[in-house]
Formats: sequence, structure tokens, C-alpha cells
Amino acid sequence: MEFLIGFFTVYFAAIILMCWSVLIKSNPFSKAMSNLSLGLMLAFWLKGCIDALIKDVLIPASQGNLARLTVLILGLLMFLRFSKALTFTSKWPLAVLAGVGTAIATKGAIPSMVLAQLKIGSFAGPNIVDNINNIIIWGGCVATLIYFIFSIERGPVLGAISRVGQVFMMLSFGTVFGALLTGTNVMASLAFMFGEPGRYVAAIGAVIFVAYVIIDIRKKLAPVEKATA
Amino acid sequence: MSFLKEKEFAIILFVIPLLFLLFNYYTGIENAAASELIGWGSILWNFSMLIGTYTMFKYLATNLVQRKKDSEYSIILFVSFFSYLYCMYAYPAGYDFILSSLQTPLGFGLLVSQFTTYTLLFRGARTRNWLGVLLLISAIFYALSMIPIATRTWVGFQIIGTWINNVPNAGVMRAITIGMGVGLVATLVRELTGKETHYLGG
Amino acid sequence: MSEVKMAEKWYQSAATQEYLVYFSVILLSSVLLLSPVAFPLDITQSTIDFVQAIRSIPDGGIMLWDESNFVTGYYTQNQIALYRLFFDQAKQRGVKIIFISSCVDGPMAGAMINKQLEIQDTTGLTYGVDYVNLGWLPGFEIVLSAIAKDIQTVTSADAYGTSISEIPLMQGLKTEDIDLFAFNCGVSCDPWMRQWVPLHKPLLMTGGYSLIAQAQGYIQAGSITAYLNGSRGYVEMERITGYMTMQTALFEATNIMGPFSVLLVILTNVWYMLRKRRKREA
Repeated sequence: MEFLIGFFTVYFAAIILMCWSVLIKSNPFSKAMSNLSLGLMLAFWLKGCIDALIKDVLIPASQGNLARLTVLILGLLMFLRFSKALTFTSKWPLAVLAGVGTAIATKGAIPSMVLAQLKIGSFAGPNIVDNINNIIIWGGCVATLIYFIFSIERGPVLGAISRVGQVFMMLSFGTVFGALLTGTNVMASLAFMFGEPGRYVAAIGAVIFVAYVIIDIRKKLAPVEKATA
Repeated sequence: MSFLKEKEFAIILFVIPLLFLLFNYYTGIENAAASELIGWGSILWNFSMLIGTYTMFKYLATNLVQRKKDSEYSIILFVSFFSYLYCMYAYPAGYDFILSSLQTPLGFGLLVSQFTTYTLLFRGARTRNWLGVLLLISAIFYALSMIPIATRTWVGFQIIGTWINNVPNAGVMRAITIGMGVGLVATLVRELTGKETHYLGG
Repeated sequence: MSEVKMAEKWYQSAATQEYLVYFSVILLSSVLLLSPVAFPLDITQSTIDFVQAIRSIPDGGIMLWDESNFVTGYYTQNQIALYRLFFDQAKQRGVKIIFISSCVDGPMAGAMINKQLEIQDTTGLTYGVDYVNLGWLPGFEIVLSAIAKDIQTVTSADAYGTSISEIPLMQGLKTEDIDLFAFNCGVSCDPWMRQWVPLHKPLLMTGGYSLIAQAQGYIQAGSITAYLNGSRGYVEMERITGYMTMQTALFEATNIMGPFSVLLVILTNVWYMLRKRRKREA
């Protein structure tokens, strides 16, 4: 495999460019790359799942662990969804999984998602700026919660508070949107394309891209030029 | 036997582990059994992944046999899948090569969101009312508060951007988190009373 | 016969405008790549608190790190300095480290841990005694819950197939013995909060800017002890620790790409307003 190290950047550059070609138009290269990626990712996933099953189910079950034997049977019942007569049995393991998942999600919900969020700083502390900020945080929290109450008719008071909630939400979603404005850069991918010999692949890709754009523009303008001629 | 076919039996299988885990969480009784049950969840999750993979392969193979549009690309998927799986178990050098030279550039290349984000900003970031303007102003200040050149140009970007993140944003996120927490508990009650049975597939 | 309206000028075509945007992005990034610009960076308090929290783990204490970065991140070196910080604590103060991945997006995060451990300097440290890699475990929040309940039941073997009972670090270890929990977040941090906040241990988070913005409620409630805010947080941490990687160079791109994005947004809106006004006047 040593000889392949020299091709490292060629593969990188070529694959990245084939993936990026979808930005122009969906084409055989981009479809091939997305299918390749899906195949590799699925294989990776499956290996992780198979290893976990062997380690945590098959080995203990083969050693006589009754609990693991039971869950093995439950897991195999899932495959009966493909049998018309016994498809109802495939719902049992799903029900157990859903029950476990719901319990896990709910038990931590109250202390961390509700009670902890109700803690608020002081409104009358020594620092006036902190006091004002705490009032604004609390006001924003209440206004947003009121905005999401749809079971009560909104009169003038509730309507005004909902409007304030909307203002707060716009400021908040702006921070999430603002992350988009900073968080993206293509430098990491380009770094692999400027190395040797990736730059040659990148140059070929650039030529093809420019040629395609020129042809595309000409095609779009041709009927207009014929019509005006 | 007919009761085993009923939806209610599945609901019972849902409720028993749920109540047992909640009981254990609040009382601390039967920790070992509770840990085992949580392990079951992880194992059953694994099995559902296997089902998902099988279902997807069956669908793609059917399309291939029926020669539907673009189904020929599925051959690449199947070949790459089986080769990689083989390499992971039997040929470590091949696995290393595929991970470094194929999977990694694919990971980079398929992040075309790096580009589509800019076209999104170019086409989609248009405001039609004053609330939208507020969103954009907040976004711009927050973004600039993260960028060194901006904060060096005017310190106000950092102060205002950080304030927006720490104060109004925190208030809203608290509200949303409280809403989610209450929603989770409400969904639990609905599921316990059998009104919600989405996990049974309809 | 209906008239087909074609673009009058070449730059009025939507596709051409998109190509121009892509070209600008590539051009600006390439310029930075060829002549990098180093800009002074102010370290924020959140990063200082994060590094301090790791350095405050008691001597001989135990920390747990939950990885969610994909192995592609290994090539941009965005975790190298962080892992180095962990191993420094292990070498200098005998801190034990448990690596695990509950990543909802799959075993690629487990591969990240493997890659990082291959390249880190672990001189003087023994695997199984000073650190252990439990690998990727399926189940996401179920795994987090299992960790919170009893670390012994999370898995029966480590990432390399060694039984947990044979690993000295894991023998007799209980969840309450772990002094610090830290995680890397690729999705909303709610699952970690639900499962690990009730443990009442220091909780550290790293994640993208939007995820940190969404976690502000937890940060202010004190559920999250400290955090690294996106790529800026990582770069600030590199400045504090002195371990500079490619991540610092890549971050410099935000000095141009960030204002470029802001400019795009402003131009879009100004252009849209002008078009609206022209239509109204017409």
C-alpha cells in the first residue's frame, strides 16, 4: 500500500471536486460519490452495530445469561415484521425500546429542563447592569412562553406580551443564524487541493467548470439573441 | 392468543419498562435490573439499525431489478458496502486506506453546505418586515462578535453581540427548554394513557 | 404563442449569480490559503474557564470525555490540542481519562478517538491504567443514561475487545467516582443535560456557535460549568495552552469569510429593497 501514499492528494482532490460538482448540476459523478459515501457509511455503521451485538448479546447469551438471551429473542422478533402472519410480534420489541427511551428522556427532563431553568439571578443585587439583564432575561422567558400558549384567546394584554416575545425570539434566532455567517469556510477542503499533485486535479476541474459556465450562459442568451436579431 | 395480537398488549409492554425505570429513578430500588433494562434499550436500538439497513437494501435491490431511474448507482453502494465491511474484518490495511483516502474526502466533499450557505444568504436572507430586520441585525452583531477583525475594528460588536447572546437569547432558550420539558412530561402522560401510540407505527 | 422571458444580461441569470458566489468563496479562501493573515485574538472568559476547569480536576481524579466529532475532523486537527490538554493532566497530575462516544451520527466518532490516541504522546502513561477507550456505543441517550446510572454496565469490553473486568482503571469504578464530565456536541445538548445534570458534577461542553447559543439557558442555570464556543473556542484554547495546530490557520479564514457573509446579507437586502421600490414606482 506504500505506493498509494503518493496518490493521497489526487484522490482527495478528485473526490472533493466530484462531490462539489452537484452545485452546478446533478451529474453521474456526484451521484456516484453520494452512493459511495452512503455505502461506506452504512458499512461503518453496520460494523459498529454487529460488534456491539456480538460483545453485549451473543457472547453473554452463549454463556447462559438469561437476560441477554431474552433481549436476543426480542431483537430477533423485530425481523418478523416481514412475515404477514406474525408481524404483530415485531411491535413488542419496539414497545419495550420506546418505553425505555421515554423513561430515560423523561426522568431527566424535570430537574434539568424545567427546574434548573427556573433559577434566576437577583433583581436587586449590587451590580445594576446584572439586575437589568436578569429582568430582561426573565421578561423574555415569560413573554416567549406566553407566545406559545395558543389555548387562551389573545386579548390586548396577552397580544402585546406575545409581540414582545416575538421580538425576543427574533433576537435569539438571530444568534443561531449568525452562527451560519461565521461557521463556514472551505479552506479545509481547499488545503488538500493546493497540495501536490492535487493542484493539477483542481486546475482541470477549474477549466471544466469555467467552460461549462460559459457554454451555459451562451445557451441561455442564444434564444434572446436570435429573437432580437 | 388473540390478546397478544392486540395493540393493548404492546402498550402494556411499553408501560411496564417505563414505569419500572421511573420507579427505580425515584426510589433507587432494583438498580441492577434497571441497568439491565437500559442495556436492553441499546441492544434493541442496534437491532432496529439492522432492520433499517436490510429494508433499505431490499428497496434499492428492487429498484435495480425493476431498472428504475438512477438505480444503477446502487451498484456502487452495494460494492462499496461489502468491500468496506470485508476490509474492516479481514484486511486492516484496506480499511485504513478506505478511511483515509475515500471516506475522509467524501466527508469533506459532501459538506456542500459550505457553499449552499452562501447562496442561502444571497437568496434567502431577505427581510419583509421589521421582525426580519431585527433577526438580521442580531445575526450580524453576533457573527461579528466572533470575528477577531471585527472586534478589533470596533469593540461594540463584541459587547453588543455577547449581550444579545447572553441576555435575550438566554431568556428565549430558557423558555423553549421549559416548553420542551413540559412537553416531554405531557407526552409521557398521553403515552401512559394510551392516547399516543406512534411507536407502534400508526 | 406565449413569450418566454429570458435573462437580458448574463449576470441576471440565477445560476450565473450562484456561480459568482461560489467563485468568490473559493477565490477568497484561496487567497487566505496562499497568504495567511494572522490576526490578534482576544481570549474570552468562557475559554479560560474551560481550560481552568480541566486543570482543576483533583490530582489522581477521573474525567470522562464523550466524543462526537467525526474522523474528518482529525484531518483539520481540531481535537489534537484538546486531547493534548487532557493527556497533560494525566502526565502531570495523574488524572485518569475515559474516552467514549455516544455519537448519534455513528461510529465515525469512535474512529476519531482511535486516530487521536494513535498520534498523542502518551509517554509514561499506560493504557488501561491511566486512560481507556470504550469506543463508540450505540444508543445515544440510552448510553448517556447508562453512564449516569452505572459506568460498569455501559459495555462489556473496550474498543479493542478487552473485557472491562480486566482493565485496571475500570475495576470497581462507579459513576460517582468520576470527577468531571465533558462532551463534544454535534446536536442539541438536551440529552446530555437530561442525563448528566442530575449527577451534580462539573460538566464541560464544546460545540458549534449555534449549539452554544442554544445552550445558553443551561449555561446560565449553572448546569454547564464551562464551554468552548465553536472553532473560536478551540483556537483560543490553543493560544492558552500553546499547542497551535492547523485549526488556528483555518480560523483565520473567518476574518474574511465572516465579513463577506455579512456583506452578502446586507447587499441582498439593499438590492431587494431597491427592486421593490422600482416595482412600486413602475
